Amino acid sequence: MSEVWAKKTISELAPLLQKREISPVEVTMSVFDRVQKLNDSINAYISINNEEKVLEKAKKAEKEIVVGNYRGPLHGIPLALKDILYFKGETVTMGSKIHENFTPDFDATVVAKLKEAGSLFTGKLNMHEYAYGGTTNNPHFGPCRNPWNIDRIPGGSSGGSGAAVAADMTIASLGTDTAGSIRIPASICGIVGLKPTHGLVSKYGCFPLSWSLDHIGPMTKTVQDAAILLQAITGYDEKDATSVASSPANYVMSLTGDIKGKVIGIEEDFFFNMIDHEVDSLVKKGIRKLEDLGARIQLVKIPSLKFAEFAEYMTFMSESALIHQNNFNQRPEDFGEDVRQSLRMANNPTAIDYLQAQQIRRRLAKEFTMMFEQVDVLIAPTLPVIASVIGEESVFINGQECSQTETLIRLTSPANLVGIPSISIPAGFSKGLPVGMQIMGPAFSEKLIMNFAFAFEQTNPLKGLKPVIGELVK
Amino acid sequence: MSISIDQLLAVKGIKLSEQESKLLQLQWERILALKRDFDVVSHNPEDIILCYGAKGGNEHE
Repeated sequence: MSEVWAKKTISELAPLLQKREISPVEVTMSVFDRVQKLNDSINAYISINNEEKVLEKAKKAEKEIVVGNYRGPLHGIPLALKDILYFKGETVTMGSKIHENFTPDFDATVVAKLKEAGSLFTGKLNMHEYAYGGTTNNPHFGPCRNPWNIDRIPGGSSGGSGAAVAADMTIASLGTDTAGSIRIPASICGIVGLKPTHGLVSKYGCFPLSWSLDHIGPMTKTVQDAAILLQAITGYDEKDATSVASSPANYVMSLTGDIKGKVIGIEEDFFFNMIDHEVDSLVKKGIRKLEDLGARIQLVKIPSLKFAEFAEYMTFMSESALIHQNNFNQRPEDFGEDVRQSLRMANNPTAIDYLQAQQIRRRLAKEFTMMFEQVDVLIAPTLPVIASVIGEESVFINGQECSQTETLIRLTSPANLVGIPSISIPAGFSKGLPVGMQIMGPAFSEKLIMNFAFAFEQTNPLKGLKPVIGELVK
Repeated sequence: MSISIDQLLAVKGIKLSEQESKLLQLQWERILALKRDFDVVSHNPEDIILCYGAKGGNEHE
């Protein structure tokens, strides 16, 4: 079976499926072939669904399309999602030993919506245990590897999603993001990752890490595919207390690429401080391309960003300590060493620490709101560095040794603290590894930031390059 | 009164080796340093209120 279909995007496949020029069966077989060929090397999948059963569903989708019941652009598209989203009657592990046999009795809202849209599912994707880290060096299911260099991390915590999309082991995916866990692997794996506005996408049926910071969003090959997936998963959900009723939006139609007259904010003190020289240079080159397309640059200040890292740590440590307290107290040895160490630390914040973190979040929200009265979007590097070698705990930024965890989440976590949307888009390569550029906007400005990303994508920053398949196979 | 991480965890029956304890203490100090001078930053009322209006919502009553 040809692997050609696995390499396509949703927006390329959907019209072919609708016109019956190809069948969902062919596309699904193509993806399974790719998974079977590459998963030993990449380890993007924690579990691969039974191929025969998925192909039966693909045949059913084909029949529906043939008789004219085409449901939309996800009908007959095989996807694989991060193994933290509940599927009724199927094992969902959260990348953990503790939940290795957990079988939810309901679908996550996003899963239900994708099933309703006609998507098929090839399996569940590797992740950092309980989404509690940025490397996807999973002690229970093995490390996930970066398709651009299998000695390197794919980022995390949605590392399996990043690697699988980059290596064409799924057509697209969903990840979750508490401090950057969609955008970090998107940046490191050279794909598109969108963290939507907090409340736009229901989190019902997603195992929490830190409820006030958690988000679910698309991880895709293109911006257009991110728009298609976002369209399918948004909407108010009474089962999620943080869900927000928002007006229906057509995200795909808003991708015109026209950004003339728009204003790009650049904040230098935080977002361009301590950045690898090559990453800095690539992102600034990307911003100049957007200027060439008619956008204007304005320097901005967000003074409370200097407290953002403290607020992120105190919030997610406190909330995650509550979520995991029973298992941590009763069976700490069943957590991987790094998560166990993080949970020990998570027991330490005081009520004052947590409340001060919330004060910082309120100050930041106010400052971001004021800033977005002057500019349309804020652009920054997604990460200060490129992918590090698997197992390394430190990274070097221009010769200076830094903590890997702190470095990975430093630039992405402010958008979680204030709940604004942020998209990571490939900006080029440094030392043969992808570099991402982050575009943030005001709450519910997904159309705007995706249009910026779409405009930039048209400049072909990755020059059409893909991971080299021969180097991926052991 | 402040108690150490070791003492906090010991209450829950979790014992740390000397090396684990040192590492935790170092990491914790690094995180606390991220607070910088926030303790001395002046706050306006909205910075302190966290949804405590008697009728619900955020109003300062």
